[in-house]
Amino acid sequence: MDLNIKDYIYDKLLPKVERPGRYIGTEWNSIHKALEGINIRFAFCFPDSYEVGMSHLGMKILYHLLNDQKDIYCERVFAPWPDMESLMRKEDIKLFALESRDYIQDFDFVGFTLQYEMSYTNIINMLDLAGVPKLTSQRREGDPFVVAGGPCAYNPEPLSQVIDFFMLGEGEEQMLEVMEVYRQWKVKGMKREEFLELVSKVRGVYVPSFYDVSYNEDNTIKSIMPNKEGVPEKVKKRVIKDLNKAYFPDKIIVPFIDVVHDRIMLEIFRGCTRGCRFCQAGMIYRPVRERTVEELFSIAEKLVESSGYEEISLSSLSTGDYSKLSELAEKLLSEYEKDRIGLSLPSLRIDSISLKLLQEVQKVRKTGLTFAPEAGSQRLRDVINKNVTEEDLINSVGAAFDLGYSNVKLYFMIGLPTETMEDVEGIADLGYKVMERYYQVPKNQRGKGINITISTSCFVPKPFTPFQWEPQDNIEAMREKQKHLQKMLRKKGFTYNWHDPNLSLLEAVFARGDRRLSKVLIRAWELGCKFDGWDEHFKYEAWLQAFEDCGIEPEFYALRKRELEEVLPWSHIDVGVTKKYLKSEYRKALKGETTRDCRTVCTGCGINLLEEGGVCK
Amino acid sequence: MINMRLKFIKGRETKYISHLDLLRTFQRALRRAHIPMAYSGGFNPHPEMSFASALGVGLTSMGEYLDIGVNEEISGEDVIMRLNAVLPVGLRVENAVVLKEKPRSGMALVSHARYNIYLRFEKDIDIEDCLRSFLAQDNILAVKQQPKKDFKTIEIDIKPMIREIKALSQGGGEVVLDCVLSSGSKANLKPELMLQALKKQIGDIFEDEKIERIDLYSDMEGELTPLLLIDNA
Ligand code: SF4
Repeated sequence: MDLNIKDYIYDKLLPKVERPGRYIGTEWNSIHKALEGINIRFAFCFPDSYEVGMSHLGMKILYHLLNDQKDIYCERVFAPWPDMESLMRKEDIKLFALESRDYIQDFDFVGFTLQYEMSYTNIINMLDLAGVPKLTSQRREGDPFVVAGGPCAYNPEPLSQVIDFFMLGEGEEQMLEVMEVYRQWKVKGMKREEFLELVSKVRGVYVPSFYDVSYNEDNTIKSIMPNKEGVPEKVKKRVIKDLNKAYFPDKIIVPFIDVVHDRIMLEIFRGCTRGCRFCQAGMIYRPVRERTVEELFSIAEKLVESSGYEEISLSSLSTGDYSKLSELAEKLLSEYEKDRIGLSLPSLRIDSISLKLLQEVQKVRKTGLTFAPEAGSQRLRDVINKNVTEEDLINSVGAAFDLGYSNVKLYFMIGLPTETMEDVEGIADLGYKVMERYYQVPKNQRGKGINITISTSCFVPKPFTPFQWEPQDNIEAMREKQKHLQKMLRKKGFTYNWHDPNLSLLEAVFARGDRRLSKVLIRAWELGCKFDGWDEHFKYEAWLQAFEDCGIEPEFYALRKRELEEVLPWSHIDVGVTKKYLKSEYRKALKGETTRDCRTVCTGCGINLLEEGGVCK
Repeated sequence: MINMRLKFIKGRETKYISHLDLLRTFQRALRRAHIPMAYSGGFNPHPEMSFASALGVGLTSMGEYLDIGVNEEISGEDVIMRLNAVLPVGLRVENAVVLKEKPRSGMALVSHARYNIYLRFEKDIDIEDCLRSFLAQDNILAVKQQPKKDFKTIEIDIKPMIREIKALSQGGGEVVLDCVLSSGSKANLKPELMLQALKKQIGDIFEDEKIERIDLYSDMEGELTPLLLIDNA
């Protein structure tokens, strides 16, 4: 690429954009390599803004994993903010990688991480900006391979016409295996198609073009079958058996500009044993694997030293479930208090907050507290298997109030299966009980200015959960519920936030969508849709138009109840948790029966059968 | 607490880093360098550090200043060495000195800044002549936006804030203006505003290619003194 274009972008274009810091690429610990000796160039693309993407742990891990390979140069790419995009289009500048400012259309791989459905139009937009053909079928020899991974890849079908192959499951080992296959393919100078064949043999790799989907009269799927010999009928996700031996970088990039999570994220364990029935993460990230306190401490030490961050956050799906949480927290606090490095404990469950721990953490920094009862009534919490009682909530909130906290956030969902208006009112009732508990603290001892924030999101049924067969609540019903809560919570001390049901509808469509949605995605992009997850950019009307133009009804995907025996678009993907288990959980849910945490006794989800030798003890 | 003053370069790679982001960048670099920072008291303690002046986004500088407070004695050389090993490209500490007790802050001291402004004219011109007539005006008016007042504009006379402008012609329409302008809390003239006034006078016949700050000074009884030479221990 012309050197002058790089300078032009940097010196002439960036002064015209709102936050030029997004596009600098020379942050501390970013990797810059000379091209000599580089065999594979990998564009790691996050289909959202820099601020969101740089907050993502998985990207940080894989970035350094790839760059630790001498012959691989992995660079970052984020979705250019619309102001930058329009300048690039006007001046005919293609999408470039942050580190080298080289155009990614010349790279070997363009890889996307799929964190949420509403970033899909950004993928289309980024491919377009890059000058890479948008559809798998349009790509020719010499074009990059467009690949994807991340939680949304477990239902890859809506993107199956766009992505050449998906990598399912944890990437630390698989990514390097794919790279090795590529090296050998490249040396031999083979055809594009041949690489896809070779790579489809790597466990966890899914090449959509090697599968045919046929449909029934009623538009449901009849079958999904491999159309090539040697291609697995079911693609199994990858799992790292021992997290303590898994790759973890000893440095992470420190952004110049403020990003969403600007701190050290210490992943203390993967997976979750709680079995909440609405939660996809709880199912797809199984089994639970913990890092030891020693391993975590050693990671923390290296990262503190190399980053200079002033905060460590313990990350996982449910921090309070870590078996040695107090030991770890105390060790970190005592080591780093003198250096004034704070500790934050997000996703702490309300039934597991340890008072002592809270006090310890508070010494270093005082943060607001969040609780997620998810549903307003005990009946509905039983349906979703959120094993938390009102008493639990009041006790932990109370403990926090006693310590002087006066700022709490409560998270709920509306539109859950079997929900009635009574359950919805339960949300407000719970809010009032929390308020009452605050006023029980003597006036001179309690924190000033009570603020209870209640947020309700709209439930989106997800693949690989017991609710994967359930219809989503319709938009009118959700709005009515939101209005009702709004009325009930119109009182000093409460803040009520709610999500846009229009956006949730689309999320529901793409979460459980099939191959036929790729064209809707492209059409929506043509109609100007991008950054759909951002209120100011979300164009609902354009989306409806796109569905209409393609002759597809969103209701078919979002609002339809599936038969238990229907072939679901993701039936050829195996995440380990069995359909049998999901069905039984679904039936129990409708009866309001709970399932206990499988930490003590296995409840038979099937994940232990995924790998030879099993992973759950 | 021991006070120190650091002089650093903000180069091309970091020219888009805003004031606040630069503060955070230094905070983290100071940690990586294990500089024994002193912390403020109070509910939300923060490391003792402050810049002498905010540099406009997009400008580079050869002379920025950071005042820090440390708990233990540490030599200027040590600070330079340790910090430069862990600063991102585009930031470099050039000098560090220990200050006397209760020094005046860099921020309070700054009164002037020197800039080199690289201009490209459409054709060769007599820049000396242009400047002479520019500075000969009774008032030099410029229109200023006020971010704190809904970006309402006012017209101000910037003449008193121009201490000196010299021109170095490079030939071929390329000119470097070496100028000293008021800078700081009492009076502040951004080089961009000065250029705007110049354009009004001589026409829209040039583009600014690059603006670089050269140094910051304090007016000590009429004498412009670089910040690094003031209040040393
Ligand atoms: S196999 Fe048993 S113990 Fe392991 S995650 Fe599944 S239910 Fe829990």
